[in-house]
Amino acid sequence: MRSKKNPVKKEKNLKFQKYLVNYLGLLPFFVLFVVFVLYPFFYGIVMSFTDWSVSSRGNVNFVGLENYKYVLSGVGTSSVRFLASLKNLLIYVPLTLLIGLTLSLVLALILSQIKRGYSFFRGAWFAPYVLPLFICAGIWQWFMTTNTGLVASFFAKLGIGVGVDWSSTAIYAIFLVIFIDVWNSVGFNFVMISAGMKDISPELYEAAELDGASTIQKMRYITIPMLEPILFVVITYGFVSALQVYDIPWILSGTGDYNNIGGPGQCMLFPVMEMVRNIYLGANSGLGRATAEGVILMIFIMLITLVQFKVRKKRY
Amino acid sequence: MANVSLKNIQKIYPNTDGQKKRAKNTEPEHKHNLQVTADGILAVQNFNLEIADKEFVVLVGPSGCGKSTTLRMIAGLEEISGGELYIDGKLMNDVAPKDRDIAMVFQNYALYPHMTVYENMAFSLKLSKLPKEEIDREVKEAAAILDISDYLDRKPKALSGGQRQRVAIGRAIVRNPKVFLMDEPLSNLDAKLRNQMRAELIKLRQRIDTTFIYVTHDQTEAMTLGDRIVIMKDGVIQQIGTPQQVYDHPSNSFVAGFIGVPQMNFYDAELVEDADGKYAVNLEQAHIVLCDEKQQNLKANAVQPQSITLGVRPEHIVLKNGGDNLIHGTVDVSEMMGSAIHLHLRTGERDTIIIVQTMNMKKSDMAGFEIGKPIAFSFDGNVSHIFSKQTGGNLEFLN
Repeated sequence: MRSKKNPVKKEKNLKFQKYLVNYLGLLPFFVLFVVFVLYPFFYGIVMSFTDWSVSSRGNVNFVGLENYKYVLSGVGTSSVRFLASLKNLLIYVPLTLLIGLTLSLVLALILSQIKRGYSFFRGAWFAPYVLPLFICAGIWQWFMTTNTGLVASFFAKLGIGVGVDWSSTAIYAIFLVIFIDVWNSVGFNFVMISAGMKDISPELYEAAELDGASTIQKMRYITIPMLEPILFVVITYGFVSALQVYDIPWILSGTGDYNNIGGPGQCMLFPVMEMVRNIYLGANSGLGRATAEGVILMIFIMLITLVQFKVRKKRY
Repeated sequence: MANVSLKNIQKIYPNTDGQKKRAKNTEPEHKHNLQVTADGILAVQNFNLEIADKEFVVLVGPSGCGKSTTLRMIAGLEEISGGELYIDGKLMNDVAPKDRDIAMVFQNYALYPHMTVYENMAFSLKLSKLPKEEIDREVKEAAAILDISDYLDRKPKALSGGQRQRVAIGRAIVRNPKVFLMDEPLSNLDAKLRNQMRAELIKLRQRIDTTFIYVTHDQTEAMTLGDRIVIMKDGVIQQIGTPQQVYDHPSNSFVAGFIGVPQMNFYDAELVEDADGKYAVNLEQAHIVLCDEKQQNLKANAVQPQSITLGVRPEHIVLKNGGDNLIHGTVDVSEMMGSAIHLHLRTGERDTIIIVQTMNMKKSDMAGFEIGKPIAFSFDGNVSHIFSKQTGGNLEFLN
């Protein structure tokens, strides 16, 4: 041997070579992530402090917190609409999550007791999830067409809601949005929860049975606590996607006129819809306002997710 | 505290529709040695056992012999396909597990991972709506017995295997059940801890004097814990008896081979009747006359001279330097166990294991078992077990 290499250095070199391949493998995704996510994300934050609009053609000025002050002021069309959209979220998010989760959980619990037909029901409930949301919205808009739609006419025959315009009457419209979203997502949540249930050791149920637990008690004391990790994922995911609700109300209230998006009295207007309206119609600082609204929504999402993580850490 | 009575208990796992169609025109077959009939696989058949109040009964057998299935039928976790199960004189076949007043310790502990040790132990009492103070007292009492008082607020994942096992036992104790069922409770522990827990189970049994039904595949556990042992194979009871009985008088070659470590040696031999009418065994050049007790037993069964399977336990064989009735072999393996040497010999077509105690042995002799060394040994007529070559049954106890 002519020269003795330092073994530590040699090992480091080997490690570097080993990891280099891994990092190279990640590179294509990372480039796309930077170009299409990271850069627009920070660019959006920066632009929320400017008077940027579709017509500004490069002539963009820094306006400080003006956009934020405006959208939260409650004065002016865009601000009124944005605040209304936030209010709608207060109804929409808790109800969608509560109904959607309860329904998927109950379905999963019932189906776990069934021996035959499991695959059929799982397929049947999952089917709507494979449809794009705007198609779901379209289908239901059609079903709920006043008096003539498949479901609306059935209701009318039962004497329920005769002559009601389900998709544009304030009180019904938001519930129609909730219903369609739940219809679409229940299958996915159900599959997640069912998979989680299959992971629970049957011995635990046997032990509980010997301990004297009834079927309901087994669900309460074994199934639901054991599903906590899955439920956490489903709830977090549900929150994030519910706060960004867009496709369904857009289709239901779509009349071709951006100003009427969100239905009469903004009954199904949601923040992302208002952001889109601002982009196209907000001639003055429209893009700046839209990005400011986006930042506000992002802060909400981050706060809620953070609270969820904190609560979970405390309990487990 | 209760007596348990199993009458002609049977467990059949029904065939699926496809199997039924196939089975229609075929003869009954054997799957994993279990009998398969048109109805399905017979996992347990003709199981008859009377367990007295406060008795400790151990079901033992190789995996797949139906011991756990039987225990689960007693617990109510498996449906009983046929026969009757009585606990304290009451028919239990269709009674829900929670109403049978039994507690069970599972092989994998089955502790609720999201509950603390205290909550795990208190769970059944909480469900039965006992006052909080009483639950507290019961749990703390059981924890003290099992020496787990310091871990009450820990979750199971923060406990070692042995501690988890104690919690599982504690969960059963607090219920003060009529019958205590244990399904291989020590099989997940390492050898040292298993020995320790086995001793603790014996002590525990003295403290909580109740009926125990214990399932294991480990014959040492069965021998040390049980008042009586039920040895099972392929869903059928092979023998029921005290540890001493099954060791001294195995009912067939399976029981003889299963009970005792190292395993009993088996030889192809001839059972002959001497001119004086005494039974003897011919093995190679050795002619071993059986003891009086065996003579009587064989006579009572009118056993004819025949080819037999001769069984001799390793601990009953003695090494000999000279004399009559010697059997010759060569050393194959010599295992030094400390208090004894387990000597594996090659003798004709069969291998022989001999336990040689080292206590009174000279140091120079201990080193003397090098591989290939020729060795002669012998055994007496009182330790020879005579099994039928055809059925494997012990010819002394055929009836």
